[in-house]
Amino acid sequence: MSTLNRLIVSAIVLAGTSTLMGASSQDVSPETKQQVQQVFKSLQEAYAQRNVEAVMALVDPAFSEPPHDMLKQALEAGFAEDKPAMKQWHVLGTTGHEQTLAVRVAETTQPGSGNDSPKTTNKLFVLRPHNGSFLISAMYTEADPNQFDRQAKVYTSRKGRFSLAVPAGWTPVGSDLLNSMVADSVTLMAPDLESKVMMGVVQLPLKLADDEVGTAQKGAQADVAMEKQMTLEHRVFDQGPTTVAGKGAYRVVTEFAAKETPDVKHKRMRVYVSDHPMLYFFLCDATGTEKFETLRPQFDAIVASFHLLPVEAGLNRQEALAAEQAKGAVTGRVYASQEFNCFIAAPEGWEIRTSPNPAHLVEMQYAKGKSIARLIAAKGVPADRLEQVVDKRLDTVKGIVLDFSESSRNKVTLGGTPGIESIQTYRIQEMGTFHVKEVTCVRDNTYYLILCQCIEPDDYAALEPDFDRIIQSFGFTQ
Amino acid sequence: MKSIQHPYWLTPLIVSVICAGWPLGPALGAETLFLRDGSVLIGQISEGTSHDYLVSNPRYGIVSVLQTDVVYRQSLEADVHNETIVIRADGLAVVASRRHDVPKRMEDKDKFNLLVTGQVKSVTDPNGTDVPFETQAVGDNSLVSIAYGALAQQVAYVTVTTLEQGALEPVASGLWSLQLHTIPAQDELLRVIVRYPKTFRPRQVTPDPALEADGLIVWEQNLRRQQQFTPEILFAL
Repeated sequence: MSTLNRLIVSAIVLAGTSTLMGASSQDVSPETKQQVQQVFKSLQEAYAQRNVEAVMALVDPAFSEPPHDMLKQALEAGFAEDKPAMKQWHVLGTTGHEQTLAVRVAETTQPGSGNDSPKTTNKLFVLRPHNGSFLISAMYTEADPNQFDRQAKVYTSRKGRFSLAVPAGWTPVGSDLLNSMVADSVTLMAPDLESKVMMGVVQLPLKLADDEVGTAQKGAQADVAMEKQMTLEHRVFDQGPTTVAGKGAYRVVTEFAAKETPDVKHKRMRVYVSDHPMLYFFLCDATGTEKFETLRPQFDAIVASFHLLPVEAGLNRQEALAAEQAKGAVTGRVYASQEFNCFIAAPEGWEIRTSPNPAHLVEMQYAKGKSIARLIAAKGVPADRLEQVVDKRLDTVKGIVLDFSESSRNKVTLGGTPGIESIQTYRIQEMGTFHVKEVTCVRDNTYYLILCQCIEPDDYAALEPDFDRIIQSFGFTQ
Repeated sequence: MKSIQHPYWLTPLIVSVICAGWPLGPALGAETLFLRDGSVLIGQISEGTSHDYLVSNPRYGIVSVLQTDVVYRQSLEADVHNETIVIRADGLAVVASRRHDVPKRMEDKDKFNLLVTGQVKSVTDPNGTDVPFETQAVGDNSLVSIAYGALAQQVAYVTVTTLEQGALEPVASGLWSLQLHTIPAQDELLRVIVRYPKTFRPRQVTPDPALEADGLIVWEQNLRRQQQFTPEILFAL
């Protein structure tokens, strides 16, 4: 799924909600501690046996973070490798919030291949009761001391160049799911281990509006439209422009139920802050609508505490974030990446720049319109899964756009490698009609997607030759 | 010591052929001297007297160049990313020489490819030696294939010289724009040298260059990785 879709799609943040609540943390009984140990012992055994079903039997099917199907796919792919990475867990401590448990765990990963030494990371597992035992409801990475000052209760992202005040009793954690989709993010878990604030930043690949508030509004409303499409009993309560950290922003409050758990209502305050091309987002979620008003002061305080840190002299915010994690180089209109062993060129009349968004190598913007083209790449995809990869991606797209139609799908050759070309049209609310030509290929276990999106009112017939030039310019360094 | 006139030079500059006694000072590596009359001289340079440089040039032997006739001295240090743009007299095309890192050789691969803008005219190694290559047009760009076996071991980069049409674009007010664009993968010192016909009049140069002389503009920019650098010259033709 493209970053545009990932961002302008609320699906990415619908996972990881739960129904139980508690007000404060407390120690748990020895019996509960024993049950927790048993969960991790079973997890260890299932992992050692590469048994996907046994691992998934320990995961809450409705409330997992990352989502259940995504976790399962990742496990299947990982266990299918000749030498899969192995994990071990050591429980550091358990606290309870009524029936929900927060379990601090040291997770040690032994890489399956190469000579890398084992790496240990502190994780926070959320466990919920199920048939007399516990199931894993969510998995997060603990913020390290460099990020979270426990005395001052301030979370600082040196990568994203921002800081946030963390209310008493709240816990900053990292979400692998969110981090795989946006350039930088943090999740602040509320004391009930269910409600939370997910905050992050993406680089927008296109200009949504001419000013900051307009950009924030367009992005927020597009996401709300998709949220409505993907949820039940959706209502918009309140929306309007605001200012955050001196930047133009837009706020929308919605209520909905997830399709998986229709009896649980969620209330969400969404605040988008624009500093083009960077878009900062806050998703303040209360699980159980009655908790929203109680949490609202803390939500507001977190958003109000958002502070943009200065960047190095000579750099703008986009460059500062790109310096952290963008790949490759641009010379004139040619992009090349040694790490991804490829190159591609923008045609005349297109602007080109690298991207810090995960998997996005380079993006091109049509100078006289709204249309965009991007090269997306990810490692760890076997070539024999090309068809599956394309089907899966388009299934995801279908789930989040309107009026999807694939007018053609053909086998092509991309940089000398077999690929699949697909032409589609669809609509994204608040953004208009997209006419898309994309080509996907897999080479040396690396997935490449050239995604060319003509966005109305641009004329696809006029832009298709440019899309073809972009696609034809793609090649492999070796 | 015998004085000669360099045949390339449009306005005579006095150079001296050193008949014996090379070198008078330590060689500083291959360098390019941009001279006041618009010509260039490439060679190994050593300090001569306090007034001149001694240049060892394969074609002209060892020559002396008055320091006052040197507008800009370009060293070819390994850690400097050099890019040279020469605008042809008709303004319709530029000859661009850009450095490209040689990719780390992958198993079972005997050549590597580069995508460059324009038509490829030559590929040279850091010593200026021609490197054999194959090329094919890909739209306005060229795909260049170079065999690893054609390069000496440990060669870190090659310089690809291309002919680019339409690099100067007309803008408002009858001016013509030359705009360049770089986003480096690593921190680097980028040196961009633009030579242009003396009949052209630069009206605006952004950002401020390190050197602006008649027919020559040089930027030297320390770039952080992923920092965009988009220098532009607006010319009146």
